[in-house]
Amino acid sequence: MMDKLAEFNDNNGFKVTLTTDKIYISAIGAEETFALRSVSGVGLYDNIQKYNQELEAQKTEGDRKKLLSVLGVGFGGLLVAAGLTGSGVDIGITGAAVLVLFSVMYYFFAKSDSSPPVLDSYFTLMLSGGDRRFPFNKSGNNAKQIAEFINKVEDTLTAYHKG
Amino acid sequence: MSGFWDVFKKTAYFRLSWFIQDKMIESVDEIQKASEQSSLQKNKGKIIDAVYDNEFSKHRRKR
Repeated sequence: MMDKLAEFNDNNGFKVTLTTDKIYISAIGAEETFALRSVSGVGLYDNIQKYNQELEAQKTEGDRKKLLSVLGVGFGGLLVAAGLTGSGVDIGITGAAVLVLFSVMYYFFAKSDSSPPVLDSYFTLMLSGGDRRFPFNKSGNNAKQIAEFINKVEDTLTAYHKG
Repeated sequence: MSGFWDVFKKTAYFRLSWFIQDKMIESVDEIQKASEQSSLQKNKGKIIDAVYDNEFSKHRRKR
């Protein structure tokens, strides 16, 4: 029985195990085993471009919601003022106040609803038969396990003469 | 001789329109690149946090 050096899983059926000789990868419906001697390196890649685009999209969406809320508050406020001063425009102070209230509620709801985008990261196993890339989340529950797994795989990478 | 100048004119128009089209496409690409760079610069802090301030980076071996 080979010693298990490191392991991680994504709790969705995907599991990677490193032993002293091999790397076992199992997913639902697929299993792969690699000899450690075929691993020539590991790589890490963060999709910063996509993350930046998502940040921009979130900001634009936030600005749009903010503008809608401000317009609602402004318009409602004007109607309240018009109602109070007894001018010709009167849809009822209660109705205008409700509009203001809804706009404020919408603003806070939209603010709490927007979760920050997630940075897509990948680690690559460079194998003699081609590279294999695995997506993961650096802030996910299994991030610590993945970091330790990569550290251990790095330990197995040696110069040729050290064999 | 007029046949030659007709062909010359057509070729010159074609090359000129091709050149202008190229310049326009280049400009759009440049604008997109500049806007992406500026956006990256603006979000630099958030990007650095997302890349380094996480459980993964804390447990990676420091070199």
